[in-house]
Amino acid sequence: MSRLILELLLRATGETLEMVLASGFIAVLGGLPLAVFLTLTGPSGLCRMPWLNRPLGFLIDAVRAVPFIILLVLLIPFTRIVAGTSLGTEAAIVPLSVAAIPYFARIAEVSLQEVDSGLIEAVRAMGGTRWMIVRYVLLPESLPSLISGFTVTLVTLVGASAMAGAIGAGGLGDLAIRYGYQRFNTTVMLGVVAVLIVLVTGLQALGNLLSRTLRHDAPMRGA
Amino acid sequence: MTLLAVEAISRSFAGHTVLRDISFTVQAGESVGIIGRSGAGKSTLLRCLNALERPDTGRILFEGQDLAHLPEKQLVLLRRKIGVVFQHFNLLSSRTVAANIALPLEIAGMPKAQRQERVAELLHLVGLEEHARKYPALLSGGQKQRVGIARALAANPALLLCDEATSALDPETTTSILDLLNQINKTLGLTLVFITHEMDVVRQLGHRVLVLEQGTIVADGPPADILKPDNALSSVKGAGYVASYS
Repeated sequence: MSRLILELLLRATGETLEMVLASGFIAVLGGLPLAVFLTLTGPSGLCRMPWLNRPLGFLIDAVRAVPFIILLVLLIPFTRIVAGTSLGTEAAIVPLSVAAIPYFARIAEVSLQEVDSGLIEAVRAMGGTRWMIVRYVLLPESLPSLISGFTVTLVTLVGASAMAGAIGAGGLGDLAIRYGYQRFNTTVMLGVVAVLIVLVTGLQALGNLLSRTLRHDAPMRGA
Repeated sequence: MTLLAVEAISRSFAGHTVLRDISFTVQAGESVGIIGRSGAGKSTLLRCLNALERPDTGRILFEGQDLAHLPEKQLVLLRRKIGVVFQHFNLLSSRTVAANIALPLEIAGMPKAQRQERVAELLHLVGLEEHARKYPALLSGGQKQRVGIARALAANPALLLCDEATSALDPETTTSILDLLNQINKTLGLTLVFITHEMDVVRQLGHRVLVLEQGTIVADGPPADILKPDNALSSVKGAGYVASYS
């Protein structure tokens, strides 16, 4: 493998990581509050508000229903407003975030709903406010599961970021299409696939490790 | 002194009456058992007593305030004066034993130094000093319930409610938990209201027992009188229950 190809791969990996981590971060920032809100206002929540919960759920699912490649194109005007341009790695973070927020919101919602209702009852009985229940029960008790869900989100973002390459976002997907596919450069293609495998398995392993370290509800954890 | 006065409360869910015109009082320092079959309304009654549930009618006076009609904001504060021990412990798996016990104190806004002091006292009281830094998952059922009791006592409640506190425990552990509750009732003078379906628990822990059947109280008196199979109550509706469980 020539030095040039290595440099290309390295730069593309950096771009992919930038897109994935930035949009992943925004996904948590936007998705987690949404998930908490959905859980609290949902049918078995602490402050049931179906008139707010249902439209919000619908909006979230509507965004999730749009295939990413189409969302990418649909959002071009919006991306221009936010990022100033619709081309490049930074610009791609906008549609990636828009897709990742509702995705993570639904995943996190499941984690939050799995928290034992007895624990919520216990903290209510102690005189905890709703905010305290979120802070002391919902978030800490679901943290290992939230991290697993975040890992899934990141891996999905790796895939989605490859599609963003199609509109000039750079990254590994872009490299594979332009060099590997259009120029028949098998070395680049295989190199990209290898990097992607390492990236995804690495992210997954890291996520699993973190989730396991924070999980205290299983008595015989590796002891 | 009357600590708790329940006055003619009723509660129904979707047209089904769970509690019907229930009245009783609890004196400070007393230990009162509420016994009944599953579905008799025990849990709903207990949830009314710690203000997680409002009765449809009637009043519940605790320290002179009416739990049935107080606005939610004040109820939140009032709940901090009522400790609850749960059948399934309900300990937070993400917190150590010490941090679980400290939770009601954090909720009450106690400063950290004071909190640590109080937690140390409570760990000593329930005999779990050496487990302070462990997570609940590593404890036995009896130890978990000791943590549950310590947590319920943390904020110095005026009333301790026990919801089938020993029903998930084996007989030996049950005895040790009942001893602990007895000790708390006697030495701390803490008022105890507990629900159970086990006659033995009432015998060992109660000064007084209320028999709940189909949402109404059918008997009220000292366990020794109520739980005798052939007593004056044989003419009462609750007699069937008492006889079948004695």
